[in-house]
Order: sequence, then structure tokens, then C-alpha cells
Amino acid sequence: MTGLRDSALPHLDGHLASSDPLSPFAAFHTLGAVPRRLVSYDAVDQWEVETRRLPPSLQKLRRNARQFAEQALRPLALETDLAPHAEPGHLSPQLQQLISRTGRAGLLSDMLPAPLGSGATSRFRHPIVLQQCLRVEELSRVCGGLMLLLSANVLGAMPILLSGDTSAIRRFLLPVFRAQQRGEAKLFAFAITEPGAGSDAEDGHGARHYRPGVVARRDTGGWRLSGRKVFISGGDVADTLTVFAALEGEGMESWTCFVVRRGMPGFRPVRNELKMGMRASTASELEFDNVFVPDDHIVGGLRQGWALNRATLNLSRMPVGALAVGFAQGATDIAFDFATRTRLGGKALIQFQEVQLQLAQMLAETSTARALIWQSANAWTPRQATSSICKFQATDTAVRVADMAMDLLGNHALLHANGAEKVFRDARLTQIFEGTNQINRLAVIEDFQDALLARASDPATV
Amino acid sequence: MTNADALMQESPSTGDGDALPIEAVLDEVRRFGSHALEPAVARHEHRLGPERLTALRTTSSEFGLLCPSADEASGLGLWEAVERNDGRRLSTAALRMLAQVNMGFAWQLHQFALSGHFERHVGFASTALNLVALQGRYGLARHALARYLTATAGPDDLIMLRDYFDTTTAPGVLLHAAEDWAGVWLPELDSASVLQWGLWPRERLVVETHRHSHGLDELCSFVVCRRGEAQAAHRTQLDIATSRRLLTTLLTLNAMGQLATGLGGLDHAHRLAADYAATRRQGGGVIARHAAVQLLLSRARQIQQLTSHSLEACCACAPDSAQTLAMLYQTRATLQPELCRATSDALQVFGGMGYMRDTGLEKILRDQNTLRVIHGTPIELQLAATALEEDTP
Repeated sequence: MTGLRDSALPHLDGHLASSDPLSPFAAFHTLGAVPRRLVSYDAVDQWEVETRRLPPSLQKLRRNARQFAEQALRPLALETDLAPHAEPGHLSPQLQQLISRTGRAGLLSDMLPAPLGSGATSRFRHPIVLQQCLRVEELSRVCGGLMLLLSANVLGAMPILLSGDTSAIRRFLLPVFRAQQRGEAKLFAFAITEPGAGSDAEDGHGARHYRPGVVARRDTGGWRLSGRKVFISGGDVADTLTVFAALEGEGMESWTCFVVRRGMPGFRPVRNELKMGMRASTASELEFDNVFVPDDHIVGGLRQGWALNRATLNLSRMPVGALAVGFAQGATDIAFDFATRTRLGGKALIQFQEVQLQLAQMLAETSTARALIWQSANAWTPRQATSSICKFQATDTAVRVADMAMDLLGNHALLHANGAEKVFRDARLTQIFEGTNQINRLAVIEDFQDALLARASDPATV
Repeated sequence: MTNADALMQESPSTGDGDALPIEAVLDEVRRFGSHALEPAVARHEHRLGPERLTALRTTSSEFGLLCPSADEASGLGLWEAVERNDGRRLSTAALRMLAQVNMGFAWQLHQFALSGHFERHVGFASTALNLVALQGRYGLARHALARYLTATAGPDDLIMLRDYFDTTTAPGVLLHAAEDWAGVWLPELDSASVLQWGLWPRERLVVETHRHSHGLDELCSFVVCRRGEAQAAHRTQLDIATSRRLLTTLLTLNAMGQLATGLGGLDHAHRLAADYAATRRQGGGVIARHAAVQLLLSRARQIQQLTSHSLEACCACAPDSAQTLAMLYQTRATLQPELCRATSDALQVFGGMGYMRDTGLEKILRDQNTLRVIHGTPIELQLAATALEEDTP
């Protein structure tokens, strides 16, 4: 590398080598031991700096997740993205192997500590959501579609866990966890969205006016489910689905969570959507044709579905923010890589000031979003407003950073092999699912509604 | 149709002699768009294949939109009467109209028409579908290309330009075009540091075809390098002033085409989103009544109007002037990202459906992104425009 100063020391244009006597980093070494601790410089990247700030058990989780993503997801990412959309219910051998490998690594069942699940006990001093956020960021950094294929599993299992119903946990969660750890390609899926419903399932105001599409009719010893769900991530390949349905003749307040198993008569994945991105994961339309679900497959009790749904979304929206951070980081990494290996006029692009400015901005946006997620997820009881802020803020950041990466690569961004355009296509979904970002903004106000109303009615505020 | 469109069509051309029959030509384009092009692309999730694309292009040639050879130019085709204010307005309006149906089709027609303009200008008679490469290895060569155009390039700029246009080594240049191009005009600095152009038939090039590109699915990406000792089939012998003027004009018309195609894409996205919002019910009413949706749609309208006015202003300026190019680059730097954002807003109106290929919005967004990053991204455009403005009185 060459630079402004005629120096043999390696440095970028416009900067001094870190060992140059005028560099702050070299100057720091001349300070005493105490001040040196306050201004220390270490030649590691931003990811390492941030990882070292975590408690040891979470550092280990983050490092393992990155290593797993690089080893298991990276080789499949681009190829899977180009593969034709799978027929409903069909999993390619490669994806089956990936699910098996992920399960054996304990990454599908670690929302509970061993021996119930596969999580290291020491991690459970820290909130489950924070653990999920750390892991999902590393997976999405490598491939959004594969991340979603693996992570929709957590979403599907969450209502069962949140119900606090030990019987349901014992009967539905633990056997699947054990099968996953044995390497069986078994997954959960979460089914709320209905044709024509969209955000109605994610917003109380919309739900009030919505006429439920999947209805449960009473039958002897159980319920019969009829109707359709759409856009269900991994719904066609899941073994166990948490399906939300209204009771016959009642509205959304009667929503109840039913456990539906693949193979139950009347349950059929109808089609998979052709999507812009996240293509390794299916978005399925599911048909329920008079599906009989026994009483003991109800999770959390009758009419508890709306609460379980909203609680699940409160817990899942932060990980959605985290996966968006993964996209931003992935885009940033692609841009750094391109800028260091691409040359123009005899110099690597990273030598140019405008490129350095863009890269610094991408790093800053990504780190800012990550700081928001880490701070917010470090709570056992995340509230709606916090979760929604994480979701829309981080996902908007991800798309913005993906745009910046495409800009930095210029026309080379168009080539699939360079990865930047895939990050954009994958990231764009995050502004839509788990409630559009508009719905999530309104969810913030809904959460503070009582405080705002009290303020509005206080004469002192007039 | 916006007010700017109406103005564009009603205002008399200034200093161009007899006005061109713009409305009559645009009527033909409109008919072609609705009767021939639209049925071919009605299924958004299906790529318009190369054979259909060629057939449609042939039809557009038959009614004079794409001139098949230099001696058949009527002055009413794309980028034919470029010296006339109304000729430029005609071309941008036609591209916008085509892009309202399919941006990929509009863009490949623009590329071939631009090459036709180039060949007429250098006096090269050809009936082959050639391309003209306007972008080198990366970006816009920072400030170097702009300084070449304003006759202020220093030795470092010339070194940069030689590397920028170098196609003797990989990765060469990247083209995004229809599959059936026959040859490409590649620029190269000669020994006197004058930019000349060589016509390279496809078989004399190493061409790496990439069928999976981000957008403009009708087209492919090609990484192009010269093949070993092969020679160009034809070379220009331009003096430096002509070389500068020609390149300035080509870059200017290309930027106009980019904005017009992007604008047509946004028109399309807005129409789809507004139609959907008027019928989709949520929360007890159609979503067009929700402020969140109104804000999304309103942004698209703002950007439509801004782009339309800016394009009209640019069309009124001489295309061989560095000032015009600087104005277009600043305009593109501002508006090309806005065209993307406004299209993304239109997609958002559809919620989850917008992410699915069959609604068509995601394709328009990918097409807009493509137009944003080719021929200079916003930052590169700003650097180039600054260099052009520095040296322009």
C-alpha cells in the first residue's frame, strides 16, 4: 500500500502508519500504564471489539455462531438462492442435511438449557432474546434465506414456551428438541397470517375489524380447523405448527393456538410463493380442510391465542432487528472486501477518501443498530414499544446499508456472485414481515397510549 | 399525466425549425406499449425471453422507434434528432412511456439507439446491433473522466483513464444488455491521449455471460475483455475536440435515458400501488384512506413530479456541453436514489404481497436499483459533477 508520506510502513492514503511517531496509536505507547488503559489500541476489527464487550458465555455463543455460519451456511448461500422454488413440502437433500447438522450442533433447541434443551446453562443468566439476537445476526450475515429456514423454528416453538404450560412443553417441545439433537430434520412453524389479513393479525386495531379466515368448529374431543394461512415461513416443511384460529361464530378475541402436526388429515401445503429474496426459506400457503385437532393440542387455553401471538411478536421483533443487523454487517463486510481487492488507477479502492467515508458510515450505522438491539434485548421482559423500535429501526438501517454496499460496488453490485444484491433482496423483507414498519411504528404509540392519554387529559399540559 | 408532461408536449420547440410531430409518435409508442409490450410482460414473475424481446424490438423498429441503419433515420426515432430540444424530449418521453410497461425493454432500446447515434456521428454505416461502452472498469474514474471532458486532465488523470478503459486484462468492462448484441464500441486512449473508439465484434472478445443479475431481468450482464491479439474491426480517428464533444453528448443522453426509464418505472409502481390501495381493505376501510399509505403514495408523486421537471430542464440544454452533463449528474445523484426509495414505498403499500414476484413491484425496485448503480453511483456522480463544474465557466 502506498500513501501520502514517503514511508516504508504500511498505511492507507491520507493516514499515518500506526507505528509512525505522529500516529496517536504510537503515541499512546509512550504514556504511563494507567492512561494507556484508557486509550488502548488493538489492531482488531469492529466485530472483535464488540464481541469482547460481551460476558464470556455470550462471547462463546457469538463466536460459535459465526463459525457455524461460515462453515455450514456459506457454501450453500449463493447456490440455494438461485435454485428454483421448491414444490410445497419438498426439502432438497442439501437443506435436509443443513437442518440435521444445525440440530446436532444444538442450535435448533437451545432456547431452553440442557437437559431440557441444548443451551449451555451458563448462558441462561442472560435473557433468551439476547441469546437469539446474537445467534440470528451471525446466521443472517451469511445468508438470509438459510437463516430464516433455521430460525422460523424458534418462532413456531415460542407460543408453546410462552404458554408456560408444562404439559404442552413436555409433549410438543421436548420430543422435537430431542429429535433435532439426534439430527432429524424436524422444525416448528408459526402460522398467523391469512389471505387478505396482512397486518390485521399483528395489530389490535386491524384485528377488531377483521373477519377471521381460519375457524375452529367444536367436535367431539377436539376442534375442526378450516381455512387458509399464507406467507408461513417454512410452513410446508415443518413437522409441528402453532396455528392460530378463531372459534366458530366469534371474532379475533377468541383466537386460540392449536398444535397441528404434519400429516394430520385435511392439512395440506398448497403452494410456495415466488419471492424477491430469502429464497432458501419457503413462504407457504397452507390449507386446513376440516382438520381435526384434539383438545389436548390447544396451547395456553381457549381464547388465549391473541395474547400468545402478541407476546410472541414482542419477543420475536427484537431478533428480527438483530437479523437485520446481520444483513447490515454482511453488506458492510462485502463492501470492505470489494474495496480492498478491487483496484483502479493502480490503487485499491480503499485508498480513496470517498470510499473510506462510505465504509465508515456503513460501520457506524451497523454498530448503532447493534447497540440498540443489544441494549434492548438485555431484558427478560421486553415491552412492545422497545421491540417494535428495534424492529423498524434496525430493518430500515439494514436496507440503507445494503443500498450503500451496492453503491460502493457500483455496477459490479449487479452480479449475483458478489453477494451485495442478494443482501438487499433478503433485507427488504424485514421491513415487511413481523408487522410492516408502519404497523410497528404505531405499535410504539399503542404501548404508550395510557401514558399519553393521561398527559393529554392533564390540565397542566394544556 | 403530470403537468410537466403536458408542458413538455405543448410547448413549442425553441430554435429547432419545424416542430417534430411528438404527439403522433408518442401515440404510436403508446399503442405499441399497450397492444404489443404489455401482453408480453403481463406475468411479472416470468422473464421476457430473448426471442420475444427481439421480436418486440423488431416491431418497434418497424414503426421507426429504433432506426435499423444510418440512412433510414427519420429523425423521429430514439436519439435521432438529439441536436433538437424537441428531439430530446421526444426520446425521453418515449422511453418513459415504454418503461411504464417494462423498464428492461425500454433500457435495451435506449442502448441500441444510443449506439446508433454514435455510429451516425462517426460516419459508420452498420445494420448490426452494436453497443457502445460508456463505463470503464469501475465508477466514473473518479475525477479523471470529467477532467478529460473539460480539457484539464493532468498526467495522473490520464494514467487513471488508461486503466479505467483497459479491456486487455480481466475483469475488463461490465455491460448490461440484451443477449443478441453483435459487437461493442470500446473506448481507448490513443498515443496522443485522445479517446478513440474501436468496434469489437463479439467473436473477437472474451465474453463472460451472467444471467443472474440484480434487475432488468430481460437483459444479461456481460464481463467483456479483448481476446489475445485480436484487433478491432474498425477504429475512429477523432480529433480531441470532437472526441470530447462526442463523449459528452453520449454521457448526457445516457443519463437522460436513465432518468426517463427510472421515471417510467416509478409511474408504473405508483399506478400499481394506488390501484391496490383503492381496493384493499384493512382496519375497516380501504387502505388508501390510511395516513401511512397516503404518505407512501405521496412520496412517489413528489418524486415523479421532481424527476419530470428536472428531465424537462435538462432536455432544454445542449447535450454536448459539460455544464449540461454536470447538471444531469447532480440530478441523477439526487433523484436516482429517490426513484428507488419511492418505488420501495410503493412496494410497501402491498405489504407481504409486494415482496412476491407476481405483483411486479419487487422487479421494478430491482430495476430501479440497477439504474442507480450503473454509469455512476450517487457519490461517483457527485465527484464527476464537481470536477465538471470546477472547470466550466
